[in-house]
Amino acid sequence: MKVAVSSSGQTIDDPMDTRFGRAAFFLMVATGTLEFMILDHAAQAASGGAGIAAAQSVIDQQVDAVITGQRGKR
Amino acid sequence: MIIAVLSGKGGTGKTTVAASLAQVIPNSQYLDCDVEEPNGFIFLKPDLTSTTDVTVKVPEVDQDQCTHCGACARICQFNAIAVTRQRVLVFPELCHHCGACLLACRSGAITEIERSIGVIEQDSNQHFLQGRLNVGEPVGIPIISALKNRININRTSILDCSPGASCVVVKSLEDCDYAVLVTEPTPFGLHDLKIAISLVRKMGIPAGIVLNKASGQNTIIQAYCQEMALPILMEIPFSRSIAEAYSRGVLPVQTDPKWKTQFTALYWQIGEEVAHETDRFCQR
Repeated sequence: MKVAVSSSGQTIDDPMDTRFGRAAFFLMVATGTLEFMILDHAAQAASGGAGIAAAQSVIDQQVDAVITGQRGKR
Repeated sequence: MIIAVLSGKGGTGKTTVAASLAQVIPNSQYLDCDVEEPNGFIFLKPDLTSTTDVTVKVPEVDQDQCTHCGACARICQFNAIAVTRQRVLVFPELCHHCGACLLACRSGAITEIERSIGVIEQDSNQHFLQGRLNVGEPVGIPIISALKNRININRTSILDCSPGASCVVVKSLEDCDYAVLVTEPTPFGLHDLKIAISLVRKMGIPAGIVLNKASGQNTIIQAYCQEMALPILMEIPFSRSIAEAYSRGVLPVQTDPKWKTQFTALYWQIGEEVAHETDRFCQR
């Protein structure tokens, strides 16, 4: 299973970022092997719709699940 | 003649000056272009008789025709569209109505629908008009355009602009004959005045300064105006009585004949400045 995790850093040992829309990075983690790929959140500092852009990036990676903290109102 | 009243910094007295001018100029039109929080009505107390919706076009997606290619979401600069595996989600409140998604869609799944973003309100003889943007809307420009469509060129129009120098101020300033910049002798007032001046100069609109809350001791605005060859059209002193009247929704011109004379003189001075500018333009 492929899981997107909002992360404050680029390694699997970094703490999670508790925000979804304004997360620094997303790690795409394969749950069996813990192999992962880093996804830069280009829209982290967008003036609006950062969460929608984050969701779109994660959807485009064909993940099965997302682990994160707070989501915005949209 | 169309006169814009702006400031850069908020709270310097734009509405006081704009509404006072509207009061002393015969047959004037006052347009409150500060559509996020119009407040001129507090002082001018109009009898608002008509309300008109202002709408913009936002995308609507036919989910059956959509191929989920994602082109619309990729081209959107405002993150207003997300394409999931099953359906397309549109977030109209983020849409800046540019129409790019409509052009990007190759399957013809996107059409545009009208969405209300606010209103224009006015009195029966169009002496007072104001725009009101709905809370949470990102773009006030369509409301300012709709307001400015109602300018009567046979009358003197006063545009009470938003603070700052953003797109709504640029839109308000377009086609104006003169800009009155209201400022105050504080570092913030001066800082934002400089930004406003660079905007009006870039747009080629002649401008003059009204210095509000003036005090004899602090002359930072006078020094700047001298350096930039900007006329100071009027000084309003830092005055408790003016502030008290303001807090009750009363303008200086409504109670004190002295201020009525001063604002009438300000109007004539603006007229002269515009005439000079026209002469200079014709000589070029």
